[in-house]
Amino acid sequence: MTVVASIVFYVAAAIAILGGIGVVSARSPMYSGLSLILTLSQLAVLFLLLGAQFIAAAQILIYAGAVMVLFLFVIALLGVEAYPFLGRHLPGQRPLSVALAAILLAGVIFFVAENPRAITGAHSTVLQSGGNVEVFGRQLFTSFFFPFELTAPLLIVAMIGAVALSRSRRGDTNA
Amino acid sequence: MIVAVIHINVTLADWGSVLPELIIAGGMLLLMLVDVFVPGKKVNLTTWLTLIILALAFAASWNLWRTGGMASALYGTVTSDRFAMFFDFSILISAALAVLISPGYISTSAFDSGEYYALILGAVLGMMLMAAGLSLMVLFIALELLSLALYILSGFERFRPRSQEAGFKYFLLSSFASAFLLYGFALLYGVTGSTSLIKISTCLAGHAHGCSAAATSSPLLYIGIGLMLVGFAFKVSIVPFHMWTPDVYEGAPTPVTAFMSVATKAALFAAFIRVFSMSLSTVESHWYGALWALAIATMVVGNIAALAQSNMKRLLAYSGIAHAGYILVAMAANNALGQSAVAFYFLAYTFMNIGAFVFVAYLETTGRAGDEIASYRGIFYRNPALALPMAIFMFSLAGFPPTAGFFAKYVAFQAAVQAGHVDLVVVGVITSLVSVVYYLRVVAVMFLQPAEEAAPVEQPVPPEQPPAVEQVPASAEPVTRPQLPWNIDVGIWTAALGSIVLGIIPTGLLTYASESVTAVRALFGLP
Amino acid sequence: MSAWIDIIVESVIKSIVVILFLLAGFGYITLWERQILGRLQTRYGPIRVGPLGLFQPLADGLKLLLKEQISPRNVKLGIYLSAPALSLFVALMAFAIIPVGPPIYLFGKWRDLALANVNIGLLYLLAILSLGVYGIVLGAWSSANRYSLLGGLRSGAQMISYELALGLALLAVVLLAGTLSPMGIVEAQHRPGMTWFVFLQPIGFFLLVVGGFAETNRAPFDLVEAEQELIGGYFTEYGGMRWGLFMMAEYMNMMTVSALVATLFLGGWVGIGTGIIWNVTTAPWRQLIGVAWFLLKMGLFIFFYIWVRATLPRIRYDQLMEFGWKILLPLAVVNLLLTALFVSLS
Repeated sequence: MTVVASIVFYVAAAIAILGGIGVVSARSPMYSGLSLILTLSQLAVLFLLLGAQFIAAAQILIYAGAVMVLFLFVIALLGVEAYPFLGRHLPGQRPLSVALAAILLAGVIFFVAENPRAITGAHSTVLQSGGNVEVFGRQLFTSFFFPFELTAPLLIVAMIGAVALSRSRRGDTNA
Repeated sequence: MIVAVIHINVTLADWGSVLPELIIAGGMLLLMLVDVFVPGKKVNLTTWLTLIILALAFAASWNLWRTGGMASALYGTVTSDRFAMFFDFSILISAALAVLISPGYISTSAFDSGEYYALILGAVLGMMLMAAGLSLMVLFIALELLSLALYILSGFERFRPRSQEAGFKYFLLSSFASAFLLYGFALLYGVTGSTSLIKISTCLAGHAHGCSAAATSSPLLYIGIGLMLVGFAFKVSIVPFHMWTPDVYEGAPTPVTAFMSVATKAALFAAFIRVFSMSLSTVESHWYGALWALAIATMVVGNIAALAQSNMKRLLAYSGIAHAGYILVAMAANNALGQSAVAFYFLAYTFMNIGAFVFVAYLETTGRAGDEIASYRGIFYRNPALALPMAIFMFSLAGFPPTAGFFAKYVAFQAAVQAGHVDLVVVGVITSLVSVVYYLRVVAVMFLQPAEEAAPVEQPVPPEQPPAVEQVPASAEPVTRPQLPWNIDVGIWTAALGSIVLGIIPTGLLTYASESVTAVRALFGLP
Repeated sequence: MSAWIDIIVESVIKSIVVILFLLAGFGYITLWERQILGRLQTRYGPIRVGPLGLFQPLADGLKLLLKEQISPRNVKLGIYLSAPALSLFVALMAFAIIPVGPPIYLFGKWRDLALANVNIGLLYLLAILSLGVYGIVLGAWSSANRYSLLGGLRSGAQMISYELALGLALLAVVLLAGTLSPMGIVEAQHRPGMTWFVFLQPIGFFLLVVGGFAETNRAPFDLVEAEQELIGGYFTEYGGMRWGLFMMAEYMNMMTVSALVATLFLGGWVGIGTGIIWNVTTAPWRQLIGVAWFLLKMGLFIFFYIWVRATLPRIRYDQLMEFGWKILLPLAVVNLLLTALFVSLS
């Protein structure tokens, strides 16, 4: 079990990292988007390995399946390739971003090295307490009940904004 | 048949503690419905409705203040302690003042009035929750709520490229900052294992069960704090994350600028204090240095850049940056007095800053550019009833006694002295002196003799405005924006009254502010 | 360790069977479709190749394979070549959770007649279905052809729009059954006091049927590939077996949706002679009756697919969008609310 799981982990992790590199290094935004999809799908595999099936499915369903499709839409519709400024960077952007990423990575490594239990602990409790979806639902409707409800006004505001901003001006005949 | 039964443990008292927020949310929906089902022009109706909703929410907040509220409600995700209520007062008052001056702007935009006010209420809802959130989840969703509404509102005068630019700039930069904040929250959660601010503070104090012993020294905590600082600093426009502020303030419609310049900062600072001064108080050493540097940079850059401004809205933007610096000084003091100072500061700031924007809005609605300082020349002789309150606001912003601004600044600096941060106070006082130059310049221009022919006194616009619909060409600026006949006067005099009263008899409200801080400190087990 | 090997061997065998089943299904459904369409239009379909035309799919396949593979000059070759494969891959993946029959007792163990019995079953299905759009959008974009791009964009918008209604319809079923697992849903339909969900959830059934038609880009929602307007839409620039792969994906998706309808609404594999509780007997042939029932229900629905194609005209794009957002979605929400009310009261 563990051997197979490790193999899957390393393959998925490697692809995810490659995808991540692809996102930032690809010339064309289309390929950046595709790399991101690759990364997201491999993250879903990693979630599966952790026993977080619901999050894995949500990852695919929402990010890979819905959000990224819209990204690709916009890229394909605008023909973004034509804009020359997309290839340009701020001065010092690359070294700076590499340095910041390195700091973050170092932080994560130290954190894991100091207390490995922090990584493995939560995993088993979720698995023990029954189905993954059930645990998730229970949390969502108890501890995180209020934030969950709050997403309703957030979506309403987003909807009002989307409609109001994209509508043609009042008085226009084709409004 | 049903496999899992979940018992949601929420009582009526829980809902009661978010009653002000519920009123606002309900009002938002009501306004949308009014938009759909009430025929004809309804700017007046929706304006009144919005004011009533805000008043109701204010009453509900006041009631919660009176009873002391619930320390933590709805599974500990939100609180209705006096601290939250005190900030709610600032937020609701600034929203009401902004609503007062809005009608003229709505009628020239592509928005329906119901949409506009619904968005304002959406922002208010986000802000109130920001001040009341006890969980990182609530804080983030509230932040998104208020930001999203403000992005849209900043760009809502779509026919004006400046407004579009403001909306888009604000959206791009601010959503980036939200991501920083979220990343910081995520790391904080990763280190402490909880999204509850109270649990985070007990974890970092070393009392909590099941949270790693090394949490306080974890590098992830440092990174998380850094990211959160960036996020908060951006949202309250602290140097060096202030670049967006002047452009957005200048481009956004004036009522929106007025509203966001005060209420956003109040809400964000409330959350800033809750997260840093309360939840992370045991690791103060991690963030004090950064806060110190930010405060100094903000005061210096804000005040010096303001000197060079010739546009009133840009000047107020830089002045807002400078004031964020003073508030940061109070916050860096990290004692009860400092936190009361922040709370009090915002109440004072509400009146004086929005007052200044009402002045700009008045000039804009009478068909002038309104935000060029040079055009204020001789306004005193044409319209003393307008120039006098404006002078009060400028004095108050500069911090002259006996205005609200003076006491706010005084208490802030006093707190810093009490905490032993004299260096911050020295910088604060010096930069305040610098600020006098640009505030008084505005006053001086207003009281100069008019150079050209003395234009006749503008009357506050014919009432019941049916301008020949909105066929305003894109380039036709300035636009005449019809207002309600009385609202500018009410707005500007309320603000002036507030600025003066808070300066002459500040003690009552100071006591309230310190009561509110006592409540929140007790919640986090601080003395 | 041997248990582990057992799992792997079982999965491999099941995968091969499912893939072969889907491939054969693809071939013969095309034949079936052409013959039925022929009959409905008072002509014969293809009946000359072999007895009753049974070798026609083989001949078609051979023809596709032998055709010259042309790649137009401006295509993004990598994506252009992988898009059909991606479509097919997704279509194959989706079938994995469909239980085609009751569990069988073989070699000392109960074995599911589904490739994977995961506890997030329907979510998995939705996730995979949502990926289906990529093959089409990418194929369309990489072809460097306006018609293709338009077809791809239409398809993307259509699939995303109808996924919402589809998801909400499935959610109502999940509420009623109390589980996300397709096996559990089949079982739930035969608990005392319950019946096939097509009777308990008529609106949900309708939503799933319409959404399924839209998700598979079949008539009357086939304006993605509308020959008259878009010269075939996203596969304009594809020929030979590359085009064949897109077709395969479409027909396999049809089979998946039909299987889904059979599982969720028509009582799955349960029918006369299977027994309602599946493990009453250990004799494998009894379970095979269940498989037969399942194939029958699925086949009926595929027939329905073809029938609709022969009957209904293609609808216009704006009608499609209005229908999806203004009728189906509110209907789905109301249906979900009513179901939730019903479940919480009972």
